[in-house]
Amino acid sequence: MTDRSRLRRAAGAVAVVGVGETDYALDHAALRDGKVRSDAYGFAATALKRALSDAGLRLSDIDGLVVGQSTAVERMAEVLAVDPSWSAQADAVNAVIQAAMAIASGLAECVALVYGNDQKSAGTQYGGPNAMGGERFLAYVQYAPWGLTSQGALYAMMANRYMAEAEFTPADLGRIAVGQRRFAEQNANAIMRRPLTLDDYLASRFVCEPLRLFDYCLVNDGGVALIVTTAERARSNPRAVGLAAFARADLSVDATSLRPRLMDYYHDAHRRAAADLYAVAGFGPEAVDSVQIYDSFTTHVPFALEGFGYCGLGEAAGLIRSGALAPGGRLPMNTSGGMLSESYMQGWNHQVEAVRQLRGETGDRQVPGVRHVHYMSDVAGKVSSLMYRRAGA
Amino acid sequence: MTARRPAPPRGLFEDAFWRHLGEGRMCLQRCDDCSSVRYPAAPCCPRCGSEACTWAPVAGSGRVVSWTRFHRQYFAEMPPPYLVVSVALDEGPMVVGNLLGDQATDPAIGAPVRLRLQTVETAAGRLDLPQWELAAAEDTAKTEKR
Ligand SMILES: [Zn+2]
Repeated sequence: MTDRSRLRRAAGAVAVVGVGETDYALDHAALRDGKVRSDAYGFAATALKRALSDAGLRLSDIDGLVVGQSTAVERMAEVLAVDPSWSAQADAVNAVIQAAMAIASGLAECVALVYGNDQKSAGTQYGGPNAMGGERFLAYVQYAPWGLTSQGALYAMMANRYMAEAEFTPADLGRIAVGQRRFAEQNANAIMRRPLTLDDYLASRFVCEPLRLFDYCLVNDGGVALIVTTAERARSNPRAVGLAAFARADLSVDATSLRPRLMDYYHDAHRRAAADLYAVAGFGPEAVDSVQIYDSFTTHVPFALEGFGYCGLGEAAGLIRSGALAPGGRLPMNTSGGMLSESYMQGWNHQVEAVRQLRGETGDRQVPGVRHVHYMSDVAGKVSSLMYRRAGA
Repeated sequence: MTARRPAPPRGLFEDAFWRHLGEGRMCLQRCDDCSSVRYPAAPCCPRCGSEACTWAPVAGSGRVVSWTRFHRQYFAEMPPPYLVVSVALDEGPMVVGNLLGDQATDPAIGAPVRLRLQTVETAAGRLDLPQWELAAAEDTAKTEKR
């Protein structure tokens, strides 16, 4: 049983004081010309320098380190030249949660969260004979004899069942991709900025039916870093962004057989995480101004929105068709363009976007009057969520 | 000519699964203590924790949970298009296979299917793959009566 009063104290104990990213679009263009700018560790190092500069801190201030899953903890610390008092490895959302846990428990006071990935230049395979991830998620490799290995194919099966059950069409998936592309058009660091129409989407080729090319995220190189420190240290910093709550709920029983994925769309975990998150934050979807959703595929969007109560089960199409999620809507989603159009940083770039939105630093795509940004992730049924809040909100 | 397929990952407990298929039947582990049937193979029962189990044959019938049609080629051995289905077995567990037959028609969610073994060659040797085909109407009636 979770203890919501402790969770509230832990979330309230920390703030994000610095963010940094690599030049996704420039680096991607360079790679197309055959120039490999760096490796996973180098991209992470660049992002960390930028995050430290953004925070007005130096490397010597760092006493905690969380690295993403595409790099090794020891090698990252060695390359960055830090010997922290505490270190860990985690995906994007759990990096923030682990940093909060470390700070709340006293293991560290100023934690660098760093991610680097050279998946494009290194040719990382997300399916086929050398599919990544099988050591963590057996379902990614278990069904190779039947030709089923890619994560996209698993999401395609979710989509087909969902579309048979709900009033949801392939064009609704397309509207997600089109809406995010419109945000990317307003983001100079986004890789995909060419306008995308629903007709373009519907004319694009299938990969794993019903999913098309534009339902899939990009594959590119890059790095992201965040600096998380104590709320006391951040108190006088008007650019600090706080955490109103974090929450997590797992579904792993029967995961390899795909049961929680196909029979439940991970809603049991969505509901458990949402209940904790909203209770700890003291507010729910009604007070959220923008959502950031882990979007390796468009299909994540309806499941997360329904699971976290932004609409009823099976009703995501209505929310999407209303335009609420697109630029100018009442619930702008993945406002950087997300992983479909900005950069595939496995959820890390969403954290940077949430922070910059709450600082009011996102230019043309700025959500007016934003107080709370909600991040949702449900990779492989491990649902994790963060509620960011503006300083003073 | 025997079709070529990618080899499956093989843990200690998978060998019996493939050996039984090689003998012409699909068997899953049934817990000796609580009778629950599990897939994939595992060292202990996910319902009661018992390590005691018996490999028991399944009836070979189930229903389509969902499907996808591959249009991109991921394996040299498997040119697209091909259909992959998730099937809920009558015994409870869910398995994955290819839907044999017409690859151009979308299978209906909930459609009854029957097991058919397909002999294939893999880098790790010959295997009998559990595959699925849409059950004929009279099979469906039988399944429902049972
Ligand atoms: Zn048992």
